[in-house]
Amino acid sequence: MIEVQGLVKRYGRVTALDEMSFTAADGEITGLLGMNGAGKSTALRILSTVLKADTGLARVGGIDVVRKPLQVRGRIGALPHNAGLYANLSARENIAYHAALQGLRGAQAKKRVDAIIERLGLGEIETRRAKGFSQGQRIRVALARALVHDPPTLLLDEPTNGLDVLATRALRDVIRDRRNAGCCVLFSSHIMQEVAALCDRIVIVADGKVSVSGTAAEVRSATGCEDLEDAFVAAVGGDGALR
Amino acid sequence: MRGLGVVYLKELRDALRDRRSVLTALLFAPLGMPLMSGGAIYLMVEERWQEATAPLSVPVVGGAEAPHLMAQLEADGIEPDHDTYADRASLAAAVKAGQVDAGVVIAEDFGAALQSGAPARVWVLHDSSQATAAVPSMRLKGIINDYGRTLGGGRLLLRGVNPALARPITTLEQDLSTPQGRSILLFGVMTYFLLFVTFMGGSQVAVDTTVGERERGSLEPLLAMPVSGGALVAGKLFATTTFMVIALAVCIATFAVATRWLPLAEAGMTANMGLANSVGIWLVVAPFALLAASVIKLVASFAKTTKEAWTYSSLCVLVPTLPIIYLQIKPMQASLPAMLVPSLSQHLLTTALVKGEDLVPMHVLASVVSTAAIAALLGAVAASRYRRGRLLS
Repeated sequence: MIEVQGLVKRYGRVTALDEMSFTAADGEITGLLGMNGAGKSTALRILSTVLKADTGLARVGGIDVVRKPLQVRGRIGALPHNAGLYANLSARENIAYHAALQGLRGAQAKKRVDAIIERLGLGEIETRRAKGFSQGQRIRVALARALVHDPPTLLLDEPTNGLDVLATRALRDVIRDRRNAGCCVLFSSHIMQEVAALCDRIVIVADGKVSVSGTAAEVRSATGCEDLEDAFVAAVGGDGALR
Repeated sequence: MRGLGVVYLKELRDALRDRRSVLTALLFAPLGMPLMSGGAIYLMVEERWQEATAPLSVPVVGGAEAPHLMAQLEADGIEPDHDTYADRASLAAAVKAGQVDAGVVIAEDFGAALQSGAPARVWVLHDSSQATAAVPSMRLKGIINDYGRTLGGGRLLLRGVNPALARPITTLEQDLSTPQGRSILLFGVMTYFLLFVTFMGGSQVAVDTTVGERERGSLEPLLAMPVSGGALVAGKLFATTTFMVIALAVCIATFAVATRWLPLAEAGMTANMGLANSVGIWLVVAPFALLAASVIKLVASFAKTTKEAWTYSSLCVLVPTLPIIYLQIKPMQASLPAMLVPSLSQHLLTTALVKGEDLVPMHVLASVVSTAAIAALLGAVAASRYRRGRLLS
């Protein structure tokens, strides 16, 4: 369960988040949909406790991200915008490092790392250094790293960026798996079709605010558009926003 | 401090995989510095030693006027060369041009003046701005003055006067330095190299694990781990420190080995660079590594890019050398307040060890505690930068 209430974040004169509020339930995939610069990454960074909001409240699993950041960090698996792997470490070492930082030790850690490498099909590259990985391989290793401690909450920042069709499908399977296991999955994207194909609920953000949220059907009726893409364009302020 | 060990081991492994940086930090710099300075010392000592004793050929003008003086020069290892220069002007020109280090001109009336008891003139021509001229001209002046004194003494004796009457005061010199103590003239600069190599040994790791990590985007997922900023910084600091103390050990070992080949005995020196003393120097300087690591770490946490961090950290390297340079100008005895100043205290303790003096336990304790305390303080400031956002934005 993720609860966000009235989050405000400014970088100098630029307002990245302007009273953003939404919730994401357990056992659901919630899509944070918006144009580039709408504030999606900022919101995810605040939820993963690496950034502090100016005002407002954010809770993950009922825990305040500001008051108890360490507890929140143990409950989330975060996939940042760029994978952020260590180039000198192998795929397995990258995953094992985060497993260890999450407090997994010894045989238990090895079992988890083995399992996630198997699940994401990383066997072929597990001993290779991350230096030469393709974008798809990097994302998969970063996802494995985020999932290794079996967190109840997943924060994924544009995970399908730069992936081919097959890799995207495989990634969706993994995300659905986690949802079916009861996880709360928050997923950001600027691609409408992506969100429509995967998400149970959609939160459309524009200019740091939530403009529409609900199921795909609810979004369509709220905006009065039959087509979801039209609905998205209407929700973020029309074609004018692009000019 | 949960996670400290995990971060430490990961940073060590990550850094060790950068072969070139590791070789530069742990081998090339710590080996190269002592060998280069050792080579310079070797050449210097050999040169001085040879100049002071080696047979020397000196051009002389008008030597026929002073056959006894010429014989005296020859007896003292200086071969007068009567043929190359015919007059004073041509010899002076050669000295001025740097073709000759020093030359002797005997006045035309030398013989007559000597006979009549008037001062007989001898010129020693040299160019004091030429470093190579110093020793030959000093040797010449020494020999000629001695010769003159002997002649003067003879004259007084002939007249029934005790020559000692003409010398009412005798200056006697007693040099109380020990061969180890004199070695400080050469090894005083060693601490400078040790501190420099220590800095160099870990700066790559310090910068890489701070700004480098941010630039590569791996800092954000790291900050989302359930590990405190203090544990992250401490793990990274200790990894940096480990590299630094290894570089320091390699550097001291190289100094110790190089010392065996230096012609120190010829210069009247011995250096205490045996195994026990080398280990002692390592232990005394090691706390400085922790301080150096936290300085670079803190500086790097303020830098926006790796390049910027490198610029800052190369400036930082200069700071600990300031007290040592100050000491070269204004020497100071080891004291408790001096032991509270990092780099100064390490220098004084190292110097004492090389001189073969006993260390004062209180001094060692003060040096270790104050250096470690300042390191911890800077580390804590660096850790505060790891708290949300500051390093990411």
